[in-house]
This record gives sequence, structure tokens and C-alpha cells, in this order.
Amino acid sequence: MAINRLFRWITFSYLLFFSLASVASDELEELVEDLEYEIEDLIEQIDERNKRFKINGFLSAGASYSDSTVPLESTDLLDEVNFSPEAVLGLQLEFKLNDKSKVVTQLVGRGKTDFDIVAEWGYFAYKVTPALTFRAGRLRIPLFLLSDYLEVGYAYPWVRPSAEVYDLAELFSSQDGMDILYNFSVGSVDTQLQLGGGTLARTSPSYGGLTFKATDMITMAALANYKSWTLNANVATVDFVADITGTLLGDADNTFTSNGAGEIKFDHLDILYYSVGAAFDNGVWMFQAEAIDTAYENRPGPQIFPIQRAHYISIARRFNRVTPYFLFAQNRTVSASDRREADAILAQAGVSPFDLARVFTQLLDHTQSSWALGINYSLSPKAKLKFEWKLIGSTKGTVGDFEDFAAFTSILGGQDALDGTNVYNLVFDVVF
Amino acid sequence: MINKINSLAITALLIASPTLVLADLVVVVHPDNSVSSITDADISRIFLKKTDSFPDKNKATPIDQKEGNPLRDAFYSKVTKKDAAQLNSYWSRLIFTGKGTPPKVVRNDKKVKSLISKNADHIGYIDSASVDDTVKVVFTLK
Repeated sequence: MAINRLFRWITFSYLLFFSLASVASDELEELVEDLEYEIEDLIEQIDERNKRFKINGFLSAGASYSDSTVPLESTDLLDEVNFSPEAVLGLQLEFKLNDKSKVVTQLVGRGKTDFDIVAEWGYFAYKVTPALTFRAGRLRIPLFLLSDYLEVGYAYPWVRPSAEVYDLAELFSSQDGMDILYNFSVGSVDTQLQLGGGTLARTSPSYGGLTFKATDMITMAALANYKSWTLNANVATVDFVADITGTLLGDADNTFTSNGAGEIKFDHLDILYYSVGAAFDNGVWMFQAEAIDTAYENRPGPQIFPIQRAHYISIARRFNRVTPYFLFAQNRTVSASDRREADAILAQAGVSPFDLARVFTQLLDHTQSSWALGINYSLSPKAKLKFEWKLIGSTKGTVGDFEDFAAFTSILGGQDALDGTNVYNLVFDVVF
Repeated sequence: MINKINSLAITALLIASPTLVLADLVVVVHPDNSVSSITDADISRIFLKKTDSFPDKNKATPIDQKEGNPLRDAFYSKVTKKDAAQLNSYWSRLIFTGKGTPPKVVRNDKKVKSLISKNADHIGYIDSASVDDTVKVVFTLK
């Protein structure tokens, strides 16, 4: 309808043009101005209609190489050029129902899962007041500064967020539930509070396919912006239940429990995550750091399954289109003495050092420090090319973030294949 | 008529030569808006949608100009300290969470003025040469 009106006005404009000679110049200017306004209003109406449904997309593609023969846990990367770990294609669909409500969903396909399309998250949002929004559906859990846009490579300077930190809570990247967002300003400090709750049932590829359910998930997040600074603090609690029967963890658990050396069993394990982050960006310098810690409640006996801590710090400097950056990241498991204690109990009971349970007392310790130097180049306002060299500096005799069993075999074999591993990435990020 | 041709010629020159030096850039609001001046930091917060109100707590709705417009590039690089790529990176963080959308975009100064003259809560930026009595200048960027 609006398009027809637009064509009519254009036709009318042509007729008007040919009758210029008969009209006084002042009147003509006025008429032309009126016409311009009418046409702009019509175009605006068409634009508004189109804006009720929006599609945005992002794509990351590139090549990665690690000089270690032991694959990395997060990317399955080993000593050959691999094109799939960094490949991600995302489409975001947004349907505006009216001025107060909308439905948004993000469909993501990843190279490492053969581009099987999954609805990463999707929710219905209702603006109760200009400051208060209610959302329900599958929501991202706000544990980190980048939680909401983990896979949108274009949105951050690095090839990917630090695996040492972000993989720590990878089981709980989203939940099915609801949350409220409350925005307010105090002076020049703009703050967003987020309170949510939900559940999650999923199968993790770790440990031979671990089926788990997380209930009573409660998430609280605060994000404050002041000038060039962004600060955030997050807390998430999870009631974790996993069926480990028939898995490697289950077999090991039988040995632990039958020898009174603790347990792995995840029967309503209360996990508490808490994290803080700070970012500074004045257009030239960029600084960002985050730290996360975990705690378990209701856990009897030695802590077989480890408490984990992680942090990273990054600094970047923009030179027009080129932004070099540095990223240091570290994660480590604590309560190692608990696993040594469990191992001693098993040894005393005559359990072989090669028994799965005793292997797990070594395997479950993770420590990894890495340094990354990278550069990203802005090809256009919507495309970036990134190159990163990452050195995995120290794993302190643990399996680090390498694939557990392969790394453990390598350590047992006396091979020094983990420390000093170089990882190279060349990635192209685009938004559209 | 000659005036019209002249203004068309200037417009064409501006389009063809985006590197032409612009006059002062001004931030404008509705003449009835109680705000008489505003800092670049507050303008930045409004245009990056970190806040949805003026310093006096009244609602603020930013109006943006089209991508590629030299006036827009100057505005964002001076006021928000972000170039076009940094701005896209910033908005992609909000767009891809569904938590925010960039400001409404209009074609030119004339349309900015037209919208502001009809909406007391709107705020936009235009070339100082475009200022007339339909808008009030609250910030000048030299």
C-alpha cells in the first residue's frame, strides 16, 4: 500500500516538474519541500514495517594449528592445520510483536559439530516499564563479561575468549527459565541488574557422554558503566545431578566408594560460581580482566572432583585499523591434597596405580598458564582479520587444558609434549 | 529557483567529496526541552543507549544519521571516541544478545530537525549551517 502511494507521488512529481514554467518560483519551492516531506514519511513508514522483523548474522572462519601431538580439550586441535574449530555461523532472528514485546532467537552452527544448527538461546521479552524487562525462554547465563556474545568473534579483539577461563563453566552457558533486567543510573554510572532462575538438562561429550540435569539455577549479575569503564560481578548457583552410571567416572566412583576414599557421585551437588570483571576502553587503549572461582556445598569426604579457579588479563592498543593485543590466562584446580589423600587410601588398599580411580586422582588436576600475542586488522567496518600466537607455558605436570587421557598417557610416557605448546590461529570475523 | 539549484549543487559536492571540511557539528533538541546544555559524556551515554534519559531525568531518544555520512563519523569519533568499526563492534555486543538496538537512523539534517520538532524527547546532531528555529542547540563540537 505504502509503495503504491510512493509510486503515485513519484509520478505526480514528474508531472509537476514538466509544469514548472507555469508556477511561480516561491510556490514551487514550497511544493517541492512538501513533496520531499511526504516521500520521506512514506519511506519511513515502509522502513518501520520492515523493522518489525530483523535478521542479523555473524560468521567466523579460519585455520588453526598446534605443534603438540596431544589435542587441546576445547578445540580438538593437534599438529595439523585444522579449519573447523574456529568456524561458527550464527543467525539472529528478532520479531517485534509491539512496542513492548518481542521474540528473539539465535541459531548457531559450529564447525566442530559439523554445523548442526542449534537454537543457542531464544526468548520472549516484555518491557514492563522503560527500566524493567521480563524475559522467558532459553537464556544465556550471565557469568562473564562476554557471556551474552561468546561466539560473536567480531565483538571482541581476541580470536576467542580465554579458554582457560570461559571453558570452566561451559556446561552452564544457558538455562531454560526466566529473568528480569533492571536498568538505572546513579549520576553518570549506568547500571544493569539481572536476576534469573531456571533449569538445564544436557549431555556433555566429556567423560564418555555425561547426562546431567541442573535445577534450581539462580543467577545474579550486576553490570556498571562509568565513562570508559565497565565493571561486573556475577553469582550463579546450580543444583547439579549427573547420571555417571556406566561412564568412566561411574566406574572410578565405584572404586572410591568401595574403599572409603570419597566419591565422585553428583547427587544434588550444589555448585556456586562467582566471578568479577573489569574492562576499560577509551577508543585507543583497551584493558580487560576477569576472575572466576567455584565452590561446592554438601560434598562429603575428600574432594575428588576439583574446585577450579581461573583468571585472565588482556591489554590492547588501537592504531587506526590495526590492534595488537596481549592476553595472559591461568586456571588451576585447588584441593589437590584431597585427591592425594584419596590416592593414598586406594594405594593402601592395594588398588593398582593404573586403575581408573587412581588415574582420575591425577587427571582431575588441571593447571594451565598461557600467553597470547595477537593482532587484529579491521578490513571494513563489519569485518576483521585476526592472527594469534598462543604459548601454553606451564601445566605443572598436570594435563592442563589438553585432552585428558591423551595428555596423561603423554605425561606417563615421560614426554614433555605439553609445556611450550604453540597454538596459531588465523581467523576472519564478520557481522552482517 | 537559483537558490534551490545552488543548494542542490552543494549537496552533490558534499556527497561526491566526503573529505570536505564540515562546519561545526551541533547537537540539537526540541526548543521546549528543558535541557539548555549537555556534556559530550552525557551525549555519548544517550547515543550508545547506556541511558535513556537526559541529565534532568526526562526521556531521551537519540536520532542517528546514515552510515558513511562524514558528519556521523565526526560525531562518533569525537563524542564517543569510536570509529565506525569500533561502533559496529559495540553494537554487535548488544544486537547479538537481543538486549539493545542502535538508534533510529534518518537520511539527513532536515529529517533530524523534522523529527525533533515533532518530538520533545528526541536528540540529534546536525551541521551548524542547518540550524533554524525548529531546534535548540545544546552542544557544539568544533
